[in-house]
Amino acid sequence: MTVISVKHVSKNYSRIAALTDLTFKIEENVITGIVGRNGAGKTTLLKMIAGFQKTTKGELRVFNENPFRSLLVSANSIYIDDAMSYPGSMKLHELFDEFNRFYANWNEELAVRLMEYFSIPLNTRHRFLSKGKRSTFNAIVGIAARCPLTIFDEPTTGMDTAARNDFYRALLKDYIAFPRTILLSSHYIDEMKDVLENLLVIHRKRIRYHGSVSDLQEAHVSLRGSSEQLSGATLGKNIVSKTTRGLQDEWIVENDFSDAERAELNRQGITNTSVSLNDAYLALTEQLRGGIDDVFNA
Amino acid sequence: MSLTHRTMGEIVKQQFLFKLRSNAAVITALFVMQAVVWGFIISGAPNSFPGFSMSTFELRWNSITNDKVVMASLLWALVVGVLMTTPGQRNASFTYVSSPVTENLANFCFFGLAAIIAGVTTVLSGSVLKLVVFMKDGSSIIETGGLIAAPLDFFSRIVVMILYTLLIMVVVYTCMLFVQMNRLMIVPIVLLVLLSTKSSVFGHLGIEGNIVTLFDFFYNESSFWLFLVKTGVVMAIVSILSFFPSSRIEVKQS
Repeated sequence: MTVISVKHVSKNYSRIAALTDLTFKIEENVITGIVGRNGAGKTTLLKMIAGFQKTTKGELRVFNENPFRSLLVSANSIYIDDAMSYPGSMKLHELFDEFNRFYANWNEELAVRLMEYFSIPLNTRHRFLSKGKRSTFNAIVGIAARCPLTIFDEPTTGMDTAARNDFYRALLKDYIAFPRTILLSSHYIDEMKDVLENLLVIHRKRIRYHGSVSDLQEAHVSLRGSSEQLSGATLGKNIVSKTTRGLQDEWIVENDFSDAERAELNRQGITNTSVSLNDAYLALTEQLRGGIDDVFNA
Repeated sequence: MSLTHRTMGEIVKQQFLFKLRSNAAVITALFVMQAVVWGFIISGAPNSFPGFSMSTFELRWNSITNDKVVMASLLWALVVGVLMTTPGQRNASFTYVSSPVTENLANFCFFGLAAIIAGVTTVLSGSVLKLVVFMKDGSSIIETGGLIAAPLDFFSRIVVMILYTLLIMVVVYTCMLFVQMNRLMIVPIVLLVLLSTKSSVFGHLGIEGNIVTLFDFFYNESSFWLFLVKTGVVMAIVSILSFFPSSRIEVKQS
């Protein structure tokens, strides 16, 4: 079943485009990573899906409804970010009581166990927590709510490495027990790669890639050699990024090499290796000309 | 995972209770404010009149009025109306299950209860004031009848106070929603406020005489039932208007 359907959706803030002509679908019970550089439009997209913001153009459907003003979408989704608004007068256990009243699948027992594990006292207020603990509390809410559509926008901001790893592990374990559609946005793509099935890459307000994580990695190959060698070997190929690493250049190229072409690369001494998910993502979102090095080399 | 279907009534009720729990301090603030004003009235100098004296007797009198508590409660109502439109309140509601319609209806329920509390406590504070004056001075002339002497009058005062409080909350809330939707809406709203408060700014334009009636429309209404109808109709119109901006305002805007 399709949970999210996006057709030619654009979003403008005044006259400034935040997203341009997005089209994709997200199926039920899939964990999708939403990634992109700063200002790519990830948060805007997630807020539109959650029903907090409206589209400027196009058709957005969540559970077959326009999410903006939809009670069905609100009752079946939860949006977690690092700027959650809670009433300052309420303690954490009182906030849990409210979640219990509003969300049908809320698991209080799991929430309390996670709070104990992460050493967050229930009788304090959200504003008194450290930044990392606040994010951890928000993440616990997102897991324990067990909403059919769970949206995490930069959930690990401020968390230490151990807490981040524990969060992803807890999320995966609860997802296996209670499958649901999860959208997960983070800049730490390597940390979340083990929980992701699909990846949606937004670049310059548009969809750059939407598909499985493994397909993205297989779709690219990393070539190392001198720039002359690489120029010759990649004639007619789609080069997605160029980086200088010491004396050698590393180019990431779309992987449509035939066996003969691969043999030719080996013969010329060009190293070709598969790319990591992070490299593939960076390759998709970096400017072809210009890494930060070019600023200093100018 | 199957979808949960919640009715609008359920969510409005949950949101109303959530707002009550999360805004308990707002009600406490009313009590504190009334107590402080009340303290000023009791302990401070009453409105003294010089009186007059003749060769055989001297007459002096003081007057104490509950008007300041009424004014404090109405000022509180204005603040509550503004408070419920702040992004913090809205975002907190949308942290849980909500839609613009349920959010609006839950706010109105909150206003209703807050107005009842404000109306009852304000009128009762007048009764307590009478008792204190009586205990203090022994003799007093009471201008307004109490619960025993004139029960109908007493209850009608409560109802009128509730309606005034509610009217202020709803009008301010709706105005603020329009301003949040579009900041330029400040202009017509400020102009309307100036016009409706007999501002001398507009006096020389010769329109003051007409505009005064907007304010007097409620204040100088001598018939209780007509007052009920007037406030009811105006509140209904303003409440319906509030759905227009509230359904267009986006939440969690960064």
